[in-house]
Amino acid sequence: MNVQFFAHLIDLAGTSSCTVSGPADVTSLVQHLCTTYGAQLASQLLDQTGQPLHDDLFVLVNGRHIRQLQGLATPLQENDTIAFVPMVEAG
Amino acid sequence: MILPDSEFKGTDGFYARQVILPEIGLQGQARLQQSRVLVIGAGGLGSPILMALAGAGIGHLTLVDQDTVSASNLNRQFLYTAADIGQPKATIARERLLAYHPDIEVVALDQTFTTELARHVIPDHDLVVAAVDNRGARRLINRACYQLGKPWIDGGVRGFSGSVAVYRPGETACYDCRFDLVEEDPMAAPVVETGADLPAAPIGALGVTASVIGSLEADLALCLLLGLGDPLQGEMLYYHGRTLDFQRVPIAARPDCPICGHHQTDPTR
Repeated sequence: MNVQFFAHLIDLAGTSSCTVSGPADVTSLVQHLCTTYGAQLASQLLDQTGQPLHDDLFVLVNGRHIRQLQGLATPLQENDTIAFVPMVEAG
Repeated sequence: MILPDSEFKGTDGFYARQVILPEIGLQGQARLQQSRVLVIGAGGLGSPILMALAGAGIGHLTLVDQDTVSASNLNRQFLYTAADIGQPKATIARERLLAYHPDIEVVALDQTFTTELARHVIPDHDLVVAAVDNRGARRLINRACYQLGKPWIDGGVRGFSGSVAVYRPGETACYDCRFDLVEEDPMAAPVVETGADLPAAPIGALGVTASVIGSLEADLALCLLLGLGDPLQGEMLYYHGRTLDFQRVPIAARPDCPICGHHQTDPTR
């Protein structure tokens, strides 16, 4: 599956996109990314209790917000595109 | 001071280099001169937005900001100088804009942008451009614009990154819908006024990033006002200043969104 990062997540992941195989759902993918890219990215993917997801983050699977799908349990297929998009709100 | 017509319309006048553009011409310039734009926020984003729209010859600008100039604003809010610290931003911004372009109308409102103010001022404008710093203000603007059928443009920054989006009632998903902020009873939910839900810790902000994003908002405004179409077509655009990446994010609308759902012509836009 194709994973895309936006805004400051690019700095924390060191890339704007990557290919991942294996995670069966969004929760598993987030755990995989936290393990792969470390604590700094994890701090922006997880909430203050260490659970997915951070309040300022929304996740799209093939362009659809996961809250319109099955949330963190949204199943993932190998040809899916998953976007991790932070809200950028300062003015 | 009002400059003579020749200063604006002549071959070497104020608009000489833009009226020769085929997308503008004298007809487009007249269209801009007749346009009325409401800019909410006169800070990091508002500074480049206001200067660009004034320079383009938007005939009427209304700007709203309840804040005063502080030293920590000056790295990115280029409308102001150290001599302005403590002064109301809207008033100072109006003075600077009229000094730059004395032939436009600028109304400055030194007050918080509330639901009541939104209902009062938005109907008199063709377009709303947001340059605010918090989610509550964006939700307020979103609801008011969709209720009143007015398009609005949003921008946001964080460090080296920023994003822009266009929200057009009847055409695109709204802000709440796009970010899936819709609660079970959104119309009954309290709306936070500008500045009321600012983050506890300041967010890093650069002048270059604010200038890029503010300029993109102004570009979108000119495209809409000139009838050139919406370049984003319902997508969000993210900018990343360390890689100079521009990324588009297509986001599907919620067909059941109580704010924009019944207006949507295409749920994928």
